[in-house]
Amino acid sequence: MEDLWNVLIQSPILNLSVVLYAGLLKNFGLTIIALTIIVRAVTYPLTVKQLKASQAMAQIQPKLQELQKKYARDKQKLSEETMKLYKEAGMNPMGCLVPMLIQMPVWIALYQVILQALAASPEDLMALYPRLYSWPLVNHMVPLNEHFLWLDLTQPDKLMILPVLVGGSMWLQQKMVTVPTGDPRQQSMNNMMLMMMPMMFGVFTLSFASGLAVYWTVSNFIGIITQYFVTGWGGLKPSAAPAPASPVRAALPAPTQEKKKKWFWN
Amino acid sequence: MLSSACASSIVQGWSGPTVDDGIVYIGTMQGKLSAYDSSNGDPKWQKSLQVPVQSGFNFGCAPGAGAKPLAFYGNAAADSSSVFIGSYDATLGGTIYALNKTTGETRWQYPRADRIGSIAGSVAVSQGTVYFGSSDGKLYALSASNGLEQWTYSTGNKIWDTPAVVGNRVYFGSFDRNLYALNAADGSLVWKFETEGAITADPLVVNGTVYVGSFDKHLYAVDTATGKARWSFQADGWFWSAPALSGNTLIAGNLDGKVYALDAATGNLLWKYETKGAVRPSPAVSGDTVVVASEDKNLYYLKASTGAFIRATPIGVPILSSLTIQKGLVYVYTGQGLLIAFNAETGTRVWEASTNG
Repeated sequence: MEDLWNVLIQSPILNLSVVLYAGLLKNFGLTIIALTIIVRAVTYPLTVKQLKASQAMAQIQPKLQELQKKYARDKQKLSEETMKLYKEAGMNPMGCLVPMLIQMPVWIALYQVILQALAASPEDLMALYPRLYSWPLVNHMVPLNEHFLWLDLTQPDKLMILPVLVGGSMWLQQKMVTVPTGDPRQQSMNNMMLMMMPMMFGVFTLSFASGLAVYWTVSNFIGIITQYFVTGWGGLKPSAAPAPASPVRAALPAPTQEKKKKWFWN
Repeated sequence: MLSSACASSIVQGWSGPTVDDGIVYIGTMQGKLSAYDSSNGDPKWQKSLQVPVQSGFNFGCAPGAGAKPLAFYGNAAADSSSVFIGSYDATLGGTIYALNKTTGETRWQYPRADRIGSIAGSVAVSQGTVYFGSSDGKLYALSASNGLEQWTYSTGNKIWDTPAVVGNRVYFGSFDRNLYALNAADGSLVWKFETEGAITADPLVVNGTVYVGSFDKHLYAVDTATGKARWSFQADGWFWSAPALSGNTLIAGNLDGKVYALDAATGNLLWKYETKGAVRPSPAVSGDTVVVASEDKNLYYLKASTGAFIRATPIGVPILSSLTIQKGLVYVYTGQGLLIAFNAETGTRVWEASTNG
């Protein structure tokens, strides 16, 4: 299984990264940015599908909450009515999950490739050798130069700029996805999640190789841009008020969002 | 998965044994420099070398505040009174330690206050001067008696190999793909020879020729006087370590798992032997026997003249540390904390010592 993973996913990305490195002024920082953009571009259709499914899911949330209240004591009925609601809305409950599951291996591979390609220690460099194709270009490029701007990509950012960028960009992206809700309990949980993940990744960045932080930051910003064009500003809209529990209102597309899309296409 | 994201995820070290005046010195994976009697493995002394670690954000990556054991990749080197070893730490940099050969007490360490790059090669000691390369791309020359800096020479990338000092020249390779020859007295450049890959292999200098392997999969023979190639040989993988010489036969291990024997004068292939794992350390030669350590967890004994297989000794773990042969004994550090002495002729285990204590 591990061999299959290496041969089919990890090694092609790893060797592609070395080829990109050769073409990008032997700069691994630029290589990480390019790789992230390429992988984001390749997985774009899946990302859009996932975002639209998430948006649809968010839009039926008020209806779902109503159903949960209505059939709180009858689990079977609740399940039936929930499925019925999904069917009526023309959506698959796994719609957000499947694209994400397909993308996950690619993201994990990219994450591993960045660490492997940087080969911070002699053991890492030894381990890199069998993963490289026998192409002369690839063999002549390694070991890669780990310096980018003020960073040693194998070490944490000493200036602490990247932890702020990683945490900040992740907060922005999550804030866009988070849909305000009328349920105070749900809202408080949303708020906690909104802070927890960015803080956690910010703290990770303090001790992880900064190459990974560059990848997280670029990926987050591409995610923000993609999200903006697919679903609009979402939770970042200053006027974003808690969604009413009215099923009719909640099921309607937001007018400002429509306007934004129009602006994009015009 | 997250733990693998830590800066320098794997740093264990692969320092090999050095035998000097009846003592085996080894930089252990527990961050100690240890000394053993070479004839029976009795411990002489052990010095724990650690660096202070300040508290801070080390989420899942590093030990908390306190002391952190150092990693050693190069072998120890000794002169008449001291034993020297360089340490590797990607975050904190490298340090050269000079210890009293008899007691293990620290004589000096370099640098004292500043930081230099991590040290992945061994120290070369010659005529009162210690020479070593560093991951900061510099070759350093220090006084062996007090550690005072004599000169430095900057290259374009990391230096992970061990310099060879022959006559008044220092030869070494760099990740910047060049093999350098410097004047040992003042560090001035005599010549440099460019290969197409990084160099981590120690140069071997014999009879006016420098033999050095590169990540471009070539082993080069370079004229010491002119810095021009006499010949080159292409293998299937990277050369990570120095070749060994047996008579007129040059024997080199390669990460492609093969051992190549070449005519030292012409570079013609005489024989090759394939193991099932990468051969990182240099082969060790005793008479017509060459001993090779492979990542396939075996020690191979081959006839140096023909490449004929004599025997394989299973060790149980991949062997990345260099081997040393002296007075009929092969010394191997297994990386599991065992220093083992084998009979070079029969392959039997003569003694073993645990370095974990």
